[in-house]
Amino acid sequence: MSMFSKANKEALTSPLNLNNPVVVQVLGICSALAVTAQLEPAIVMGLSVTIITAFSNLIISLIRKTIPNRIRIIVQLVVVAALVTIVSQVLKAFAYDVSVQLSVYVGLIITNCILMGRLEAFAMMNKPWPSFLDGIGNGIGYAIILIIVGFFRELLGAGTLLGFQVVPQWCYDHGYVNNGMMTMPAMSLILVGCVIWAHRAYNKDLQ
Amino acid sequence: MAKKFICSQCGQTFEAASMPDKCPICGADASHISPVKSKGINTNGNVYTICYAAVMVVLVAFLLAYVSSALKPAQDANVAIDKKKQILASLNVRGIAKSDVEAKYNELIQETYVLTPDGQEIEGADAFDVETKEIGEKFPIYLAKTAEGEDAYVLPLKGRGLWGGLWGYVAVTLDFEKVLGAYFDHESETAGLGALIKEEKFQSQFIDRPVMADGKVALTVVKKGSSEAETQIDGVTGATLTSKGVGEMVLTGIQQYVDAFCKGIDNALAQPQCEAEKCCDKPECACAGQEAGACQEGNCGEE
Repeated sequence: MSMFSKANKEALTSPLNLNNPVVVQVLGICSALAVTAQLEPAIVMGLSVTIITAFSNLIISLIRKTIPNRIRIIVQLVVVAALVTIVSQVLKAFAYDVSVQLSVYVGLIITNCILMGRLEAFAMMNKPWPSFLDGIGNGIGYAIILIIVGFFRELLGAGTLLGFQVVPQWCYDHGYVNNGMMTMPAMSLILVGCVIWAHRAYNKDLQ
Repeated sequence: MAKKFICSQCGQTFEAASMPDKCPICGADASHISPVKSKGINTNGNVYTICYAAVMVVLVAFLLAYVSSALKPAQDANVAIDKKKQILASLNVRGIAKSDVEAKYNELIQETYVLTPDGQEIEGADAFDVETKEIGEKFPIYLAKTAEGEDAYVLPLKGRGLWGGLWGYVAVTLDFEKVLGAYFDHESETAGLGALIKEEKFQSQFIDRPVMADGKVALTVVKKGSSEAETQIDGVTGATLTSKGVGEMVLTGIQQYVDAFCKGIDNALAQPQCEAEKCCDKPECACAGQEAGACQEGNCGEE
């Protein structure tokens, strides 16, 4: 089987659109609400989840034949928890400001349903390379939604993007006001709802 | 080729060329007989499961211990830089690049002291090493210059907000008359509401406000729009409890520093306006007990 056979490509690309973990499988919503008030933590969170899903999928797939069936969930959790701890430590050492912003949510990646879902559904019964691709695909699928939500929340809530002012002072002088509601976690639910709406309207077969 | 089979009735294994009709050992019928996988070990056995778990846990433990100890110095350095950044923010140095923090801190902070609640200076202690949770038992003080070049004491404070701890740094003039700058931060206040105390917009309200009124610390935070005195600062709308927490922290926190300062009146630090003990209040005063008027400004007129 070649590196990018049809099945492998499918594993990588289907989570980006028709099998998206957030808008189709509706997994990992809680962290999507929590870290999207600004764009930067959303990007870092998406990246962290991508790395962790990819490597936990890879590791679990590599040892899938040795895992005792009765403790497989525990084994998966240990692998994920170890990876999450390493990522969190690396962030603290090299991107301190971001790790302060993400605070507990990096730790909570452990309980992100996307990870356990993919490990149980894909990595336990597939070879390492497709599993790795599946992890990357799902991580990016999750990251895309986070970035879309983070983009709108930061733009409308604070008038900035990645911390840079993008709404010109001219607008404020003429009565434009930042929408403080956008910085509240509830608004990200509504935004995710809008994304799902748009996505389903475009993909008729999902309806 | 002979294959291995197991009989679930007698538990024995035996070899046969193909699936037998009944167990050659106990005679059980075919439904009790299943083929044994010739390759690999039984991954569902108890011994295997326990060994697997034990080995996995030990491996992961060593890996995490290694990562943690390898990254510790870098993490500690980040925490220290972040604290310095917060102290600098109270001196109105904001938005400074991470690489410049150290130099700016060394330039502006001239001396640090740690006082006991009795106002005694702890020899050789660095205020920077005092952790936030120790404030109240120890009083770390930084003698510094603000961005504008004024002399200031930076007083670290700790308090309690709605969901978790608050802390902050308030820079005051050496006589505790006026606030020169302030910085507040929180553990877990509501984003968009209580968390706004972290923003410069809220903190800059403190600048140039008087600290004391009638010999006591009066600086505090009140509900937005209800401030009556210069010492009352507008809180954040919609975050009443967080604002209250900041007000309480500032009011009682600075008062504790004033008390400690006044108790240790003989140490070399500059003093806030302490209530000096008046001569007329002491029994050995020459004019004690005489008619009112003999005491002028706390001292007997003729002395």
